[in-house]
Amino acid sequence: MEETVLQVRQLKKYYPWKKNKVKAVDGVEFDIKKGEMVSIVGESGCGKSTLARCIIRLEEATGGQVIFDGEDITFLEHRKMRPVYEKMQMVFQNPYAAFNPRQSIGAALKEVGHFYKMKSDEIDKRIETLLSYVNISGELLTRYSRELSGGQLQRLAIARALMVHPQLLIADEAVSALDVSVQAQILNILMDIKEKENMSVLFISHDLAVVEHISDQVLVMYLGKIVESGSKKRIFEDPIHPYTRALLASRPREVPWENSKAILLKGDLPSALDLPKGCRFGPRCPNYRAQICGKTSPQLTDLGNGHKVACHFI
Amino acid sequence: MNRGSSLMSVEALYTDVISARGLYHTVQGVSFEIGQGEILGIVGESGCGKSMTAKSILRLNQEDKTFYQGKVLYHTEDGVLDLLKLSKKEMSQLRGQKIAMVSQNPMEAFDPLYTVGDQIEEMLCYHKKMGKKEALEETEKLLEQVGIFPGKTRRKQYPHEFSGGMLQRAAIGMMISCGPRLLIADEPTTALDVTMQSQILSLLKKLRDDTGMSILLITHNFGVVAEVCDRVCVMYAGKIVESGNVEEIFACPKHPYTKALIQSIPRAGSEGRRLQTIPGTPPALNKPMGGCGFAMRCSCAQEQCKNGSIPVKTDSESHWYRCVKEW
Repeated sequence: MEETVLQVRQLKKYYPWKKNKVKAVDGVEFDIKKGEMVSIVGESGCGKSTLARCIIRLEEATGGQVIFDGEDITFLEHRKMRPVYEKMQMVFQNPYAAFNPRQSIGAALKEVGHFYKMKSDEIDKRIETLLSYVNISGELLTRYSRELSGGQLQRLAIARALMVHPQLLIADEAVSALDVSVQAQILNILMDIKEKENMSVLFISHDLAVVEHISDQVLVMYLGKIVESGSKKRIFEDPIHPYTRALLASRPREVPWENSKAILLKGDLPSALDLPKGCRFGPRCPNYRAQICGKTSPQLTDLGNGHKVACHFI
Repeated sequence: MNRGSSLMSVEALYTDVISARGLYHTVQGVSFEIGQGEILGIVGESGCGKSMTAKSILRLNQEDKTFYQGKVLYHTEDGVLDLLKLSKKEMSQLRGQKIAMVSQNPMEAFDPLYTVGDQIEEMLCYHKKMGKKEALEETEKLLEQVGIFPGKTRRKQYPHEFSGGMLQRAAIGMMISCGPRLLIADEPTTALDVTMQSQILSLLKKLRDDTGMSILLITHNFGVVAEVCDRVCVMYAGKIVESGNVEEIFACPKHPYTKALIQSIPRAGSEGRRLQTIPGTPPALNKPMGGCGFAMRCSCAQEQCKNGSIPVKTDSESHWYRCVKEW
């Protein structure tokens, strides 16, 4: 059995809103094994970023458990989180917001090393290795973030996150704001580094092509719940949940002569304040049946081989 | 009007912009034509001048800091207009009425302090000289035409009460309110999810089929191009480097830049493998450039590419590319 790095159990995050609650994350469960690339896909507003932020404690969970490297970190005091952050790091969507504009890039990288009490020569060596991983020349270390392009800066943000040899890297829409050619560079780098450092990656994206390209496991989220999860092969070749199918069908064609895919997901994501009764996907589902779907919420059931689906009709 | 006849032709358009860091040659001799009822795509990386081309057509750049050269010819029933020669007043009558534009961020298209309906009515009253009551009914019809139901209550809502995709549809509704003949859509789906993207794209196609208007679609996403465009221009460093029918571009891309761009997209079957990348970054457009702008990043660049003149080669009647080598 491979080693499990992260276990998420019944994780919940509710935001109070007037007399109501916004259930941004509602009972999510999954595992990440060592060296695995796990992706979360879903429309904006489905809670994928909130989930990631709860795992790394940028948001306080309302309930449930996050077990990282054998330790329950869900409600750990922030003072005690410091050693955890040596093993878990995050990269964000906008690299310009991730660097201090008044600090040179080199200083920003070194600061991380000093913060975690690494020795000076150790820091220099680590920076050198990381720069070679992300394919950036050492000359750029004296520059400031505004002088660099988005692609360069995102690569440096990844390098900075790796200063401490993390076991888990969370990448929240890390390639969404970049051009395709730059996006390709970042994806290559992420896959290489994952191999070299044997780390796990939790990759959050709304771009299905990117997810299909890099992941081992895929979780499909809809309104705070996981509706389908499994290996990439199962999700992309044999999707079961109607939402996953609709999501896959709404991808644009790869070549113009491909037949147009007909299923269109009508309407918007319902408001998380006023969730539909029973199955949350009900109002947009083509197979909706009021007697069953309108009453009870389907549970995530295992179909074998780790392929799990939450739907009444499987 | 029959499909195919030319609606707009851009001839050798140059746009230079003065900024704090010097003079930027953002558009360098771009020529293309849009036929009636055609969807033309312009693709390229950020900073290659595709949005500047769109803004130049409508003259939306700051007038005192922008210099145009060339011609933007708009064919009307009674003659040809050069948009670059029109007065400010004539231009503002044309904008929205004959040529409309949808931008990437729908939040920017609406004033947050007025209801969505108010803003569409304003368009109708200004351009079509409608009365208040008539404009009100027309607004409801327009909202329902772009799939926002019920128009009666939705028109009284403010932009923040709409989701991103819905607001983008409302923006498209506002833009087609005066029945324009050309819609310029600048990255209309970039800020949206795939499900919304497919809704917007099918809306654009439906509008084209129903009203026969032409669409100039600016995007960096080849998937969007494959989905809706009839013809494509690939732009790099202010110039069009390849142009052709969408099938030709996807089946046999000729220019090394187009090939590299298409190969850098992750797609089915590419899993686990390394994606092709393009080394380096696009050149800054504030220095004069000889030769091919892509030469520095091109794997098959020759001496002539750096300084010499770059010939235009034709592959078929509709497909041409700008490269030293014959592909």
